[in-house]
Amino acid sequence: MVITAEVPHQYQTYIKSTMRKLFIICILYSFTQGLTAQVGINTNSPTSTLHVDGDVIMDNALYLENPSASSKIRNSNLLISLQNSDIVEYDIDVSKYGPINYTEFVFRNLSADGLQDYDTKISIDDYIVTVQGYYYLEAGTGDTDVMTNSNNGNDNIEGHQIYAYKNTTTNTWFIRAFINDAVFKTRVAGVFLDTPVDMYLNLIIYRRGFISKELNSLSVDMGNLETGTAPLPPGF
Amino acid sequence: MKKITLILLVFSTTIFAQIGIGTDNPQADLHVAGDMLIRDEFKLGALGTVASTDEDFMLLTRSKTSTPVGKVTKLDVSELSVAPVNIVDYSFSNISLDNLRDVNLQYDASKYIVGVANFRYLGDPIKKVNAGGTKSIGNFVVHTFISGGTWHLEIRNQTLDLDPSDSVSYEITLVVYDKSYFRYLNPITTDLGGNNSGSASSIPNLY
Repeated sequence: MVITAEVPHQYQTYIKSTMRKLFIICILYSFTQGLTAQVGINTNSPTSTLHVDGDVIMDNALYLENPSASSKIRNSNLLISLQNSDIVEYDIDVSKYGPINYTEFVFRNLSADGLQDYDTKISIDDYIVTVQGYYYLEAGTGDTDVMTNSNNGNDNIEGHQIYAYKNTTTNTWFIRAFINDAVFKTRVAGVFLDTPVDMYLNLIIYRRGFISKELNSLSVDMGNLETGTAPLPPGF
Repeated sequence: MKKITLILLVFSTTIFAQIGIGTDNPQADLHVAGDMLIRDEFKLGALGTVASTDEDFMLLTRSKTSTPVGKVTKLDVSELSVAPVNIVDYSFSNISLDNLRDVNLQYDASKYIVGVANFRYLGDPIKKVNAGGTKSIGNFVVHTFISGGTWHLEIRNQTLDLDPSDSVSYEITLVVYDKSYFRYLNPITTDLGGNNSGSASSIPNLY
């Protein structure tokens, strides 16, 4: 650290006797006017401009003016602020939940009329549950020779409903997975008969308030047209 | 006037005490009772890790638009109109037959990725149609696609139509991902040459 000062001649001897004071002043000066050397707190060998070997509290804001950018998504952890304001690393293997979570729900020997109601027991306050994929096979055998058959005639192509919804009585997410007014059938000795199935659902479960949020529902009246424009939620 | 040069220390300054800046009562080895600006690198050596019991923590982000630049802030999705992941239920009614051929969802494709979940078909079935001795069930699709710079939605039986005396409505959940957090990878197109198996023509660059 090199500090240069213009001092009147008559004060030069006084300066020698006050070297120690000046030294301290210089340190304090360095805090307010910008450091020109490395400062260690609780360390003799600082390795950066300010090296605190211990804890730091900042009551207000932290500005990182020019940090380097990360070019890889592997081998780095996100930083999070806990409710007590501690900054810690986020480790998905330790944390109670991930920002986005995947699980497969497998329903063995499901009734031929599909999954009419199922309580996942996942809280609607903490999570948003979505069904993003499905398939089904003949129960037990894994046979793919399963068709859906309308209860109102062979010429009906019934629609499907495979979705998660909020049950506000239990405060949990429920799922349904069925074909409207239809049953699963499989071929037995050349004849199609009702069959139970093994149903596989791919659920993506988002933790509320971490990186995900639910927006207000939108209703779109298509005005009996094949094309149209849906309203955009505010802010997009 | 005489010029005096004070050569203090070429090495480093070391302090063994709790230091308070803007406070007489530091609560840590360095306690800044105010703001702190770090011009270059900021390294955290021994950082704690989230505990299995912790909940409702928030991600930290660095603002590029603050003054000064680089303010570290908590990502509070309740304060944001657009979160990294946004989930919104849609219902479509008064549809022309079964055909939701092209609905402009208006999400800017340069900013977002939009996916469909939780599909519900509510209403009457489409009728099979005779096709040369057999009956076609057509092809029913539910998908999002990019057109004219925005995300669009198609839900319909592309081949068959609902009887005009019948009606359907659709319900879906859209998951809208912000591209600041979710990368849109280029399509991977593989010509399978009529075969029913194969391997990827290229691998996405995921690092």
